[in-house]
Amino acid sequence: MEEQHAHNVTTQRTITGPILVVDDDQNLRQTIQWVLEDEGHMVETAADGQEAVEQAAQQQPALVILDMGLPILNGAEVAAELRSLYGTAVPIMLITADGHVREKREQVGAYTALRKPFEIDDLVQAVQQVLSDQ
Amino acid sequence: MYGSENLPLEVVEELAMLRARVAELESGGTARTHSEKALAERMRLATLTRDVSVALIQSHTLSSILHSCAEALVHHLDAAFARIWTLDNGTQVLELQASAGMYTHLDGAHSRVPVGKLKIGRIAQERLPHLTNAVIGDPRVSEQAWARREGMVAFAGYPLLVEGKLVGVMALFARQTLTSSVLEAMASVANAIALGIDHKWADEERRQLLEFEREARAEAEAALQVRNAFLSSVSHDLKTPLASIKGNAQLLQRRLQRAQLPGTIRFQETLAMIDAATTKMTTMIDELLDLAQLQTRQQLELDAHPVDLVKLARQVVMTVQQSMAKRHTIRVEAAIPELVALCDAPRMERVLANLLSNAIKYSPWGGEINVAVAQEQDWAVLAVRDQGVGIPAADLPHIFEPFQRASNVTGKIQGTGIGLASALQIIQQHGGSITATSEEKLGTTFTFRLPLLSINLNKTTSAPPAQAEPMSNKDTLSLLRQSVKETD
Repeated sequence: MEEQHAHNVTTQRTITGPILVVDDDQNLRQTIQWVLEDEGHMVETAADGQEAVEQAAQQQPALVILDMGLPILNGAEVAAELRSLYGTAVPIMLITADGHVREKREQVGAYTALRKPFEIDDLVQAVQQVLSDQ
Repeated sequence: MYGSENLPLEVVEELAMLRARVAELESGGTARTHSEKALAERMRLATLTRDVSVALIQSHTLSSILHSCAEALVHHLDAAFARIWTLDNGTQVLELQASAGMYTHLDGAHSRVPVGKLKIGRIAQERLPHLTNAVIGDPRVSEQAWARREGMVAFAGYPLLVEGKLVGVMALFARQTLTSSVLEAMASVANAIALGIDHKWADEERRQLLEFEREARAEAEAALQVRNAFLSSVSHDLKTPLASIKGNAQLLQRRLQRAQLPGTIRFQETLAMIDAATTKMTTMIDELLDLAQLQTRQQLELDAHPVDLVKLARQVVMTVQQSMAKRHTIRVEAAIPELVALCDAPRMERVLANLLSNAIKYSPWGGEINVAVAQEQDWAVLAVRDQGVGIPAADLPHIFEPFQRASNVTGKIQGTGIGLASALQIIQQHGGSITATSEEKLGTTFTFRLPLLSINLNKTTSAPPAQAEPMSNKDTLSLLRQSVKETD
């Protein structure tokens, strides 16, 4: 998966939209927001699928960090909405507590996936990687 | 039903012989002598035996079999009527199963006879036949007015016994005297019927047991499904708060490190402890899920990466050493400095930790435990050797089955019989194998082999990716080969 990455990403990039963090667990949502803000990212949050789609429609996010088990619209449905809004321009990073991560990643066409509970270092690294690949 | 197929050979031969003699006598046109009558009676009794034998090998219900037997008794012995009861062991009541001749009803006063009551119940209680050719005046026959009116002369009742066990009673009334050869024939028929009833009961019991077993199995499987669904939902629910705890602990650690405030080392240590505890808890949840899958024989979802088994073995030994008593020493013997195999590291650690904790547990008087790591052609070979109680040869083939434990430790050393079954599943799904050799009182050696890909892994390109991506074994192997080709 990593082999496809460009090797010359040293040039400074400007990230247009915020990172949208979608998780129905308020604590985890907040934690991810703090971690990413500490790293200098702009972060928006949404507590359910509906809210996520509305926010994404208002402003194109640079990346969506998406929990699979969401109320109202589930992760897969949010992903489908994002595709119809922006095609493949908005990368998706899945976070999930279940197994079958590979299937889910393929199902929503996610760039990558993290299993709960994840290491903060892994989250930060994965975000850098996605953004530098765009 | 009265055909000659399925008859015991001796009966067929006897019948043929008798038929021939009767035909010979008849064709001779001689007057019927006493011996001729005796011969005819022998023939009659032989056909009775035949009909009863035929009835008993039919696969009908017990009552229809017994009905055929009762009819044969009436027909061939010229009885007024014949009846057969079977014993209900629980209530000690004889239940009327068949009635043929002048009475064919199964209800009435003789429908259910308690053992010891009436003449039938007394035959059962005494386990002795009651035979009389003088029904009128017999104190046991209480229905004297009825007997006189109907002209009854003889009564014969037999207990139906199988190896001393009472299964029922067979009885008949006749309007003529019963000869000793008739009574003899009845005694042998009674034996055959008793055996028939006993077989039918055994068949029924077997069928019921099978049915119970099927039902119990289906119930257990359904319960397992419910439990697995529950486990999977609980583990899902537990992992989100764990992610939050872990995330916050690590976030605070990062902030403390960055702020470089003096005197925060203790806080950082505490946060590291919280972090370690959440990792441990996550492992336990994953183990629980693996166990559930093991029980339903589902495949595990492997998360395989290149792992240095020498390093992994040293780490596991270090962790185990921290928590064990001083009686044991564990030595790691690595023939090579590094041995990289593709595997699911947490699960492989669990296999090794399990083998080590077994080695400790089953060598209660201490001793040395060796962990050997070596390469044999395309295989990584790890062996854990102890000097413990060993495993009896008879138990060795079964130790990898779930919930099986060796006979020399059951009840003496605590254990669940899950560890090795789980180890086997993990190793097999890695394309490897695990074996045990043992000698009682000398010790046991567990050896497992994992396939090494015939490639030279470059550590910098094969570092585990940030995202923990579980894959099936096959997928991982093919992907890894592919990525190695690309980077060559």
